[in-house]
Amino acid sequence: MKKPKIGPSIETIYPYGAGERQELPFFDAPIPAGFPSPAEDYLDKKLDLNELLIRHPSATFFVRVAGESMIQAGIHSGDILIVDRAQEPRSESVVVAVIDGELTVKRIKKRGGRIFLLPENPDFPVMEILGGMNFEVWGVVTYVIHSL
Amino acid sequence: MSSTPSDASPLFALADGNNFYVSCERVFEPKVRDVPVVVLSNNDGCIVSRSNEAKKLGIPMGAPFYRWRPLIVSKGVRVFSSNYPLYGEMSLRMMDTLFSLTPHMEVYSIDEAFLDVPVGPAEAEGWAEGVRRRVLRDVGIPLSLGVASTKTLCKVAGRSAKRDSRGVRILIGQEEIRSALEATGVEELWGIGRQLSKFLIGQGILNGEKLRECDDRWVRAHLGLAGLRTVMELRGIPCVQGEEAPMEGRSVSTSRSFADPLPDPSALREAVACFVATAASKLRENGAMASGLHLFLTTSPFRGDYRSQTAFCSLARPSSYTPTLIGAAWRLLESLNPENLSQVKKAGIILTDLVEESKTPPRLFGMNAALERERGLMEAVDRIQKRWGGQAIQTAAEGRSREWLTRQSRRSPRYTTDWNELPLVKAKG
Repeated sequence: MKKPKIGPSIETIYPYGAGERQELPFFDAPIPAGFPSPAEDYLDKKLDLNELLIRHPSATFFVRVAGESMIQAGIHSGDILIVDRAQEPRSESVVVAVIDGELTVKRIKKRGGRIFLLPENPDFPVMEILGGMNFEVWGVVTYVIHSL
Repeated sequence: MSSTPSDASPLFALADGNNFYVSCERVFEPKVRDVPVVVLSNNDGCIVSRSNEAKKLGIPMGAPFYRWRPLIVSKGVRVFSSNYPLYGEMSLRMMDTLFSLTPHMEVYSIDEAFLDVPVGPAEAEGWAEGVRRRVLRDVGIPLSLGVASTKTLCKVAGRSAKRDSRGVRILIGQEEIRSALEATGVEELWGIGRQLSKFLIGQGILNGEKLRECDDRWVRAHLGLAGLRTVMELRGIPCVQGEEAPMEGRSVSTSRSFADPLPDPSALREAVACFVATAASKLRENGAMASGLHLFLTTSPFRGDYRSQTAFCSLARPSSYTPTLIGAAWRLLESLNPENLSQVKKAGIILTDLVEESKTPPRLFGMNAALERERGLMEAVDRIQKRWGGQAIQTAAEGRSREWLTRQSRRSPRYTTDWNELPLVKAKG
């Protein structure tokens, strides 16, 4: 593929290491000679939220919510969602969907070969996905980050 | 050297992100999936990525934006400034996903990688389709995959995969290879540059099949060893070595075109210092040092009277210390002494002859302390910048005004690298 020069560009591209970045604990207690700290034996790596919340790092994206239609699922306007594209959506999954070109968060429900998108707020209508609609599941919402 | 590869010869796949920058934009703005889209270079100067719809309108790669603006406006083409943080991050995701599907892979560019195919010829197609599905689902980028027994043939296969609706082309059978090469002009072959293809066309060697039939000695004499390797590869004999030693002998470059005429010489000096600082941090990230430095300045390539100036210096000792490298770049800049500053449209630096830091010869005793100080300082700078961003600490040489910084009026948000610019999802209807 021929490419014109575009800048700024780093023209050497390096393979991306498969390993995940790991926070390592920094252990700096002064140790009196001949009297090792008893805590030393229990030194373990720090807890890493990524490890807890993200199963597929290269398929996981963060998005921000605008609107109130999912409030009873604990999703508020301004919250950050963790979205995993590698996860298969199941019925009842909360998903980010593309509907007519817009990214929207909804609960998906499959019933008798029909697909519905349900809001989690009685003020909003249920939507059925019909043929001819431009619809696609963008990713499955796995966690909500909500500030209290 | 007339051996033909047996069915047992290992296969490679070239995985190539289709219209990569456009595809990245489409992941986060699905609205533009069905409309023609172009992405502009830095400074919004040229068109560097086009959707298939934009290609169909006849907009060429690398075309200056201003010249095509009337068509772009009248056809409703969506225009994006380039968003390198986004493309770089999406590239890592794509490469990471690919790496999980092959025992070995070489990243070739931001949107291309060569993968070892872990299955035989009979299963290659199914495997390639699986790779394509997986990257599309996980990352959202559509790929083309060209599978063949050599990398040069993979490139040929990749080109036809782009035209295939499934995005996969397996180029294995002798008959298929022959017809694919007949349909491939020599100028389109990987490793045949513009000069060589002109020469070959002059000799009546118009396509890949004709080149493949050439006599080895003739090829060696006229196209050199590199040309012979290409011909061997066309015959199905792998010759192009992987670039497994990533830094040795390679280079890192940074360049940019300027939006407006530079106000004064200090703006150019600051711009050059910024390029050096960026490239030097890339060096350190990879444990490398540079032994040479190129500086280049060019006038606008779209007006007549295009000129460029370059200067080169070798460093007394390999270095990755930003102040040393900036000093060298500034001395080169002084030696070029561009007479008409307002015409400088683009500048850049290339750090060359890279060596691994661990392999540099030890210095005399007295100098190790200085070296350690330099190393410590750069480590601190890199960590501060990583934590608080590139603007948090810098050399004074880079200046603060960034007057030379370019226009990027149509850049999409940094969806994947900035908490303040995440994609918005609606919970409204």
